[in-house]
Amino acid sequence: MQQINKIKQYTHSVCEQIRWKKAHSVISEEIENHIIDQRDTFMKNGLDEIASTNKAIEEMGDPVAVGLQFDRTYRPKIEWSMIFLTIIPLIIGLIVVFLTENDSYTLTMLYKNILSTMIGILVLIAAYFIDFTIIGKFPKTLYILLSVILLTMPFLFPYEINGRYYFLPFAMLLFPTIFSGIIYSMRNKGYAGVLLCGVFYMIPIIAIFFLEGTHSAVISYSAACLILLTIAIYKNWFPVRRLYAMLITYIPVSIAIVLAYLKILNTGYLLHRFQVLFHPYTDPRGSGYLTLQIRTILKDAKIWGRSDMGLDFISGTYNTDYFLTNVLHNFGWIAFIGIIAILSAFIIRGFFLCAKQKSILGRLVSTSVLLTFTIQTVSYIVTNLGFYILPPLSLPLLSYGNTGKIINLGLIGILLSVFKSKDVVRDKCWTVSCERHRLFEFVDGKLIIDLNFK
Amino acid sequence: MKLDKSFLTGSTSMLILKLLDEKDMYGYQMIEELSRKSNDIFHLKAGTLYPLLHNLEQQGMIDSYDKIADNAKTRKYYAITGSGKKAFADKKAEWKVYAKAVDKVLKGGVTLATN
Repeated sequence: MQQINKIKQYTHSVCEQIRWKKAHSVISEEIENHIIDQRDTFMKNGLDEIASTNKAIEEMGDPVAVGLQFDRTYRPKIEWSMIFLTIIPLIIGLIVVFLTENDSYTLTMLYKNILSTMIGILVLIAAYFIDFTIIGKFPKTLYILLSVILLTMPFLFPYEINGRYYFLPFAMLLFPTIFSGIIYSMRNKGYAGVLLCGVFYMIPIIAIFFLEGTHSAVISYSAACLILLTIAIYKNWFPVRRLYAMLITYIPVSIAIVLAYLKILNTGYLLHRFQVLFHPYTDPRGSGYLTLQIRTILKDAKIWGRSDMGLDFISGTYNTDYFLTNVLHNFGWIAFIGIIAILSAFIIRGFFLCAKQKSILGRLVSTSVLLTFTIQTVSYIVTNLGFYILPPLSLPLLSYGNTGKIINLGLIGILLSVFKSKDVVRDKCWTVSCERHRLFEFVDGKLIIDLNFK
Repeated sequence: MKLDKSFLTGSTSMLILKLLDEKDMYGYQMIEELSRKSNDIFHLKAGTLYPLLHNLEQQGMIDSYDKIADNAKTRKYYAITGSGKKAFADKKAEWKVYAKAVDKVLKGGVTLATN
């Protein structure tokens, strides 16, 4: 026992030199294993345990010198490219609001916007410094906690806009990231893991099922969770037959889609909205009004500069829900495409860095944030080009809206915290149960269905 | 034979890449293998090897993964990457030029050797 302490004392001295504490566990485990291997070899050659341990430690070299070499290698990596691609849209968002809001509220709006941006940046910094691995350590607690918050929110903040609870859809943006922690914690549990992921996915859906105005959030959340689960199955993180796992996932999804379709067919106003989506002229003063307005703006927009049309665009919410259409109308196509290019650069660079992550947790968490970002962006662009199906949530970092901005910046903080960690976050021994679980097995003439509940 | 350590500095990473080009290995195994292949001339200190491995990993030349060994211990294995293979080829070519030049000088200089 004492000899093990000697080895631990050595690795402790090495780690004392390494300023980035998160790297300590990766390094100390490897060095400890090495010293033990070396000690065992000496013992096999006839030395006693004490002499072998001493000699093995001596062979490692001066702990301070070794630690200093590691310290030079391990520095948290700040992803400046991602920070740059975050700041630029934030600034553009502020400028657009300032230049295009021309009523008496302009200054108030600008102040509010600056304030929410600053709070968002503080949240980003906090998320950056909080260790993101807590998402993998306590995913269930976090998931249930967030669901409870979601349930109590309408009572705590009974603040509604057009019949929808204002904060709820934005709170939903956090769920895919926590869901990635759920997948991580279920990854070795075979088919049972896939099923339990489905159960956890349903919790927030049930929590907000009866509340109006959360459809966009539910669809975005579902899409993100489904993509994450599909990636996990495809990458064989559950070790199960991919085909069965895909069936377990996609059969309920298909049923849900069919049910949703039937609901649309049977609900008068939803069906009407869908019909108007493709034929806006059938209801030019009602549901088709917005689409027609946007079509006019698209037609009359200039390559560069404000459109000549004296259109008094879409009412007060244009910097919230129609930021891009507003940019197109006031500044032209180059500005419109420029903004989409910046957001695309953020997404592409993000996925590129995400693919480089070694740990499954790092990959899952960064993918979840990027998916949330991408789904919001794509659905916002689609709506702003005149395909209004559901109200868009927000255009990340750009559109006016305090809650959306703060939550998106918080998510980016988590993303940067994953990228900062590089190789030091490792999945603990997940290869132990890499053996594939069999869902169906015939043993002695009996059919055994193994869901691997442990 | 006792060698001047500075001979090895700089070329250690090339030797590590060479070892990993043959098969994936863990740190301890690399030291053993290097010592065996060089007839005990290169005895790499673990304190030098590990920081170097971690550095090569961060440069993307090698990759690592955990594997459970027979004794239920987790071992960190290293594997060479595509850019590692390329770097190894470059370093080997450089080394050949360098070794040839040193050899020529030791034999009495280029002019003398050729005439």
